[in-house]
Amino acid sequence: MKKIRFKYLLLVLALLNLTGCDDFLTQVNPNEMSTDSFWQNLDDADAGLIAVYNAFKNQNIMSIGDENNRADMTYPGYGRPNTSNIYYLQNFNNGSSTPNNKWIALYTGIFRANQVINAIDKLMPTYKDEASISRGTIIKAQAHFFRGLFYSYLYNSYNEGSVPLFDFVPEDESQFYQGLQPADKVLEFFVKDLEYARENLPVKWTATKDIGRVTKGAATAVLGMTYLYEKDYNQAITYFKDVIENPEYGYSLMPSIGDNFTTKSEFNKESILEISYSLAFKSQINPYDEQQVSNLYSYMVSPVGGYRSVYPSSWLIMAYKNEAMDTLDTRNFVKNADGTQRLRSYSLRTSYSIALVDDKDLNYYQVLPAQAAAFNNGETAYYRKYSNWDIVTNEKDIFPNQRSGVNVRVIRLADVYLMYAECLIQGGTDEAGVAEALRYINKVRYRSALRLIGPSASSEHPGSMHDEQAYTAAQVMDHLMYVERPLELSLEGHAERHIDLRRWGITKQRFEELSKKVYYGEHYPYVDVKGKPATRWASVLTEGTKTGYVVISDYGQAAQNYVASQHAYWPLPNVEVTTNPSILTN
Amino acid sequence: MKKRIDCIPMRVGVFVFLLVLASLPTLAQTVSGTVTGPEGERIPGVTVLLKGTQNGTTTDGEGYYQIKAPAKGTLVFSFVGFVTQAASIGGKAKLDVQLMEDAVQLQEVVAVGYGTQKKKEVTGAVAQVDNEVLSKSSTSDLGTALQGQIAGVSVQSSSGEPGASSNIQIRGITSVTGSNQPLYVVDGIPYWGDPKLSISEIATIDVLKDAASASIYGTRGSGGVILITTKQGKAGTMKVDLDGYYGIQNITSGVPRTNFEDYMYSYFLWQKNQNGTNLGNTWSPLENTTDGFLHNTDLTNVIEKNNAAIQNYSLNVRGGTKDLTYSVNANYFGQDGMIINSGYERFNVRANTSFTKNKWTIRTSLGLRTENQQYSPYGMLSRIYQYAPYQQPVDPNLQSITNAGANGSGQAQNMGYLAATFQQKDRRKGGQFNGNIQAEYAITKDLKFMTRFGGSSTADTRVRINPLIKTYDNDGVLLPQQVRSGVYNFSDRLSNFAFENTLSYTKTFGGHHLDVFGGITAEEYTYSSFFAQKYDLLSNDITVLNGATLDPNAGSGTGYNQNKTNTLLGMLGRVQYNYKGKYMLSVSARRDASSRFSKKYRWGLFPSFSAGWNVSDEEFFKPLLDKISSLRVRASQGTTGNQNFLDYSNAATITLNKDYAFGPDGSELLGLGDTQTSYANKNVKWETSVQSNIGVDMSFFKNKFTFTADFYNTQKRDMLFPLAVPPTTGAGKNATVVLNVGDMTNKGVELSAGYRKVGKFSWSTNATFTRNINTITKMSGTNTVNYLSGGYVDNVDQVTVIQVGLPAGAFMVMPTNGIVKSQEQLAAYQKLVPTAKMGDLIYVDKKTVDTDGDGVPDQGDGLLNNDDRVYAGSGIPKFTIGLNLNASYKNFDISMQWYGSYGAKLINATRTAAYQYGTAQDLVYQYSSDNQNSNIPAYRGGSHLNARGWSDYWIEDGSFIRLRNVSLGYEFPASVLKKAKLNKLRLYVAAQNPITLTRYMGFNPDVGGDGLASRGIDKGTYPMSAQYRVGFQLGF
Repeated sequence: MKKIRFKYLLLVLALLNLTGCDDFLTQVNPNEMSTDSFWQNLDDADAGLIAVYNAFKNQNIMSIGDENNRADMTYPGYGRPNTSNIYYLQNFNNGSSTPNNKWIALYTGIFRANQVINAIDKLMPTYKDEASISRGTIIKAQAHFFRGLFYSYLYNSYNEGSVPLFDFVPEDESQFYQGLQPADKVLEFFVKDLEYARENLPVKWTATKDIGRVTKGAATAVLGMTYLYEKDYNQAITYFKDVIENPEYGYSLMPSIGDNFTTKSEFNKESILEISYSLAFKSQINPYDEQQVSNLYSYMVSPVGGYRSVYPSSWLIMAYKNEAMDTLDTRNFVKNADGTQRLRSYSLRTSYSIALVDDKDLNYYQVLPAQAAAFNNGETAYYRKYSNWDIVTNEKDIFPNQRSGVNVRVIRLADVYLMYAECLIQGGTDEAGVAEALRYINKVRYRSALRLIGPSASSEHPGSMHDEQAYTAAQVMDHLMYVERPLELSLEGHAERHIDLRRWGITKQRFEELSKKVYYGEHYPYVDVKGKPATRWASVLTEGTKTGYVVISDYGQAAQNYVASQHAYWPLPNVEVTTNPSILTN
Repeated sequence: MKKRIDCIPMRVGVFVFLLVLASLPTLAQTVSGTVTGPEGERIPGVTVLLKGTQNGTTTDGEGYYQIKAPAKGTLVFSFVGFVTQAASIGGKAKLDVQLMEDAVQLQEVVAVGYGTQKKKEVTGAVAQVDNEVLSKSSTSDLGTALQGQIAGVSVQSSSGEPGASSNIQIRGITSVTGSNQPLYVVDGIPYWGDPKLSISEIATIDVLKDAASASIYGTRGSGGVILITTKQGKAGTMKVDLDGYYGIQNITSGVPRTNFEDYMYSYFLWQKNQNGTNLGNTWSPLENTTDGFLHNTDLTNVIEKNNAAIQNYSLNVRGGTKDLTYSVNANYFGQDGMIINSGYERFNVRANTSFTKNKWTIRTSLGLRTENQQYSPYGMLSRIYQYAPYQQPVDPNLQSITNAGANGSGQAQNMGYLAATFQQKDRRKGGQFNGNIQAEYAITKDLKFMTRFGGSSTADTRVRINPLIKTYDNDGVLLPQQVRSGVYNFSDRLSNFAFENTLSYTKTFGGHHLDVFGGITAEEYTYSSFFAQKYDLLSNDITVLNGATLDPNAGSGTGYNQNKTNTLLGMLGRVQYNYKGKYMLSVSARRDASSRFSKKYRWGLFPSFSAGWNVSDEEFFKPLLDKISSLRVRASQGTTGNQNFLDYSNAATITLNKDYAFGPDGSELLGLGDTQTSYANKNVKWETSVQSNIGVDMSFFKNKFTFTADFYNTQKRDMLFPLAVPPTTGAGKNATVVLNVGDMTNKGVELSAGYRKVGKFSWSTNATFTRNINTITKMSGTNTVNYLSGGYVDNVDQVTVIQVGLPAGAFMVMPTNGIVKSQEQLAAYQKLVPTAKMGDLIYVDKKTVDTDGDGVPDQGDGLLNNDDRVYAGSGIPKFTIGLNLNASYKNFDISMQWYGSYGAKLINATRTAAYQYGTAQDLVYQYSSDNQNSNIPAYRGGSHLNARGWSDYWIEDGSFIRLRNVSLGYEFPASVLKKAKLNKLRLYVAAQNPITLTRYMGFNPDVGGDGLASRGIDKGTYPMSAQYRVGFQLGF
């Protein structure tokens, strides 16, 4: 009897074992599709590619604020002369957030690009029709462009160019930890990517859904910059020349420099590489969320509703204020109320780049700059670039707040002109290129009705005002370094000013020079919006000192703290070195 | 504020009402007498029961009792440590009894998985705690009540927040993934996580500490098992217990914070260090806000609340007949937060019934729980350090603020922001229904079939309301909202069931006793969640979703909140044999399959073996019996598993919404992007641990003194491990992949001893000692120093690691050696750190280079990097001690629970934060040209090397001794109770955590932190409080 019972028990146990119960035990993720079921066709690949664009718009990649704070472009906001901005103070280390976040953002983009390349490589052999092959190639070329671009940013930003390389999608533990590659290998790697992109990308996109995708011209420009940064001027010239002269691209300077900085004229003829942002979508999404397609740059620069956490450094404000206008050019004249004409307060380039308290000719947030912003605490100018001064009265008019749809023009033709000029004079060593270099510099200046440089006799615009000086190559180089590039391109590009100072070898010396300059602010009487007379105290930046006025000076700490070995490149971030056993030097 | 004051009298009212209710009279007629011990001493506290009923009383301080009983009845006298004695009344009105001491105290029964065992025959390491001990703590959390009670069960508070659960860890760290929680089994039904019972529902808790015992729960047994048995009815007349307490709580510690003068002084020092500015050319916020001179604001008084109430009331009704018994329990617990906007309320009801008829025994258990938890906004406590003393005082209740500050000033915006955070309402309302039904059928006298079905369903809704706050500046201009008003709703639901079928066979023949048991179980767990959100409230009166106007947003959960179902199948069997209760042997095996693993790795086998020998039962031991009353030795070995990782993490997935807007402004089109954003491991498999245990149980001097010791050694293999994945892989910051890479050991000693003296002055004590040594023994794979992704001190630096030779979660920090005080030191140090200045913290370049080839590194590598980090202890104590003291004299009783923890290191991250905000009192004494002897580094901003979280500068000794509980009670004598027609009335005053002896400078040395990564890192989590309360216990 008892034995029989035991048999039953054993039987029940055995049965359960046999039936397996796989249905009960197999649970499929209801939340997300697995990677195995994705990447099945070109639509999937294109969705993956859009995720690369999504990574590109991550503001940590450009890190516009801090990349300029560590150069000589900006003062980091509040509380002058005290600041705790470690980039401005040259006081950062490998735990500092900006190099960490930038690193993460760039490698995230690379991972996504690798997935697209991987998927296309698997899909392509299955296609026989021309349309699919062509589409697949173009998708792949865009992925290669971004991988190349992101590695070029890494190469030019971190650890003297020596960073880990991923040209595959890692799958298991053995592939996660990649060591540092020598800088020349990194360079070779991303040049190859960009060349592939250049060969296969279209010169133009026409459908609205594609406007903003990268082009052959962009790949060419990035390659040109790469060779310029390597001081391989002749290589650089071939690429820049192509950008400038190839009619397929059709690049030309916009009539107004102001067409490059606001929501107006996005993806214009001057724009070569541009990051798209928009207010049209996702108002419910947190402004800091990766899903969000707007940016926060307006809050960074604007004193009207924003945080003005960066504003122009004093030398730059003075340089803008002192920009020589072409007094023969009608564009520089405005009508007074009584119908008479007078010269603009400041040059067009100055007015569109920064807001000065005494600029009477270009409204700022729909009123005069003096009426719009406070100009207090030693703040004597604000960047207009990246803000919405032309369409709102206050950044907070854009609701929900902390969003801006202004695109970031990463590379525009004027920049290429100036880089081309630099190449023509071989970085200031070749007198043979001077005339041609001046020609391109003057194209940029002419657009903003500035007084041209060099002799008028050999100029494209002989009727314009020239400074009539004979320039040596070194003088042209100085002009590029200290006037033309910073004034034309202030706060623009990928870390451009920082990289420029470094590659020219003048960073420390620049801080030392600038730290010796002293300024003060003159008071500025104005009529406020209610029509009452008022004063913006100490708001007109003036060189020198004046008794009873607060002394303003920049870069004192940077001059002391800057140590090229620590600060010329970002250190390898601690998020990487604590998680990657293959990297231990730091 | 106003509401709270109103509530106190109400609460006192409830207390008084219940007291009055409790003292309502019942009927009785009496037998009386005294109970004495073998030497004639009178024994208080003896339970006197009328046989066959629940009707009973206890003897008073003089050993005197009175009871209503029929003349032909029998009284049963029982008291721990004495032989239970029955005496028939036989018509007598006076019945004196002498009790004999119990030689075999181990007759009590303990729960083991799927069954019970006599204590004497237990071969594993099992410990029991009963309700009386648990109910000494005033808490909603079971873990808190268990702290220090059981050797080998270590409890660390994770937070003092009302409603928070503590970390319970049995025999050391059991897993480096997820939590280290043990498995909770309530009346046979396994729960996924803490079942959150009220303490009054619980009759006993049995903890299966060793793997041999826990392996019957297979895959989930590696963290140990907590078996909870709820109160069951007993046949007899109805018995009613009513208990309650009311108390107040206060925060008693904190990191010293600067006042206005000190703050400004250290502010100017900081600016000098950082910007080279001095008075004359410097700047401070006072220049914009001159009224700052009038302030000396400390938000402590706004954020921390004094005398917050805590209260608990429970009612238990039990009784039944031979065929039907019942127990119904209701409990209310309420705790106001000590931090603004926090609090917790819980109401539990449980009804247990049992029916017996013929061969059937049917038990049912139904439980209900409702919870109401209010959360303070994230990081509230750190605001105390963020908020500078010159800033305006804040009234946390204003919905409209006028004169917030000068037009356009940051101060005005700040006020709006603070008011908005203070008024954020964040409430979770949750409820659970749980129940089980169990039917047992006796096929024969020896063979029983049991089927059990049980489960629970839990639903929560959390609503966060950011009210509309209107802030006007000094000019009367309405400022934009600093925190956008809106409503966020989050709902989740989880349900689980377990279905078990078992057969058990019991047979005794000759001296042989055999138990055979086999069964199958199936379990399923389902979770789903979603949120809905809308912005811009029209009015603060209407705060439902429809009351908000713009930007609706909805979604389902992600990460640990993702929708999921997981299932588990188990087959188990066990054979237990003993000969005359002298030699015991137990063998068990369980085979489990879990849906969390891919098909290839789904099944796991978990065997165990244990044996015991009651040496004192042997003939040869007899001469020793008058000294050593009992001696038993035990040995066991068992295997358990762990499947504790995120569901579906064995397959990489595609994330949506990585979009991009194409087209120029005005004609944009949204491109939809999808991509893989993280990694997964297809080959994840079971983690197993094998544990050996040797134990000895002894008692001396007629069982007055008892002693238990256990030694164990656990070997973990293929440990599931969240390996950090570097950002270069593209998975972002803090990415991990679960791999089976590590091996780990836990070796430990658990001792417990007790002594009991009964008499006019009775006292007893028991003490526990727990020591566990945890070591990582192997890390396969490439990454042998794995920084745990959650182990941040300050959002910059991680310090907890998994590394061979160290305990899991060890602190690896940068060693420092004072600060730079001389130019020579500076010149030398600048070789390592070129940016160094006077007053900087000196980091030590660890010797890692071997220059003379002797195999011993003798020189630094000239670089400051993670190579230089050194081991600096961990947040896990070297040992802990629990000590309980109970004494009674006449009708008075006093009890104390002490808890000591030695050897844990703590990272005082609150202090780090106070440094980084520049509000730490220490900063007044920092190095400066005027204070060159200081050992506090010059402050150069929060992210400077001098204040980085990775240095050993923040490490403190976390040893402490705490008086966890002390209570003084008075039990009314039977004579008085008789008049009031009561069985029992005890009133008491008690204090919890009134004394903590520690050198730790932060809020609370008992820093659990959630999980392994942040253990020992004190990030200013909700501090523990001292509580003082009064209470009553009433029976009728």
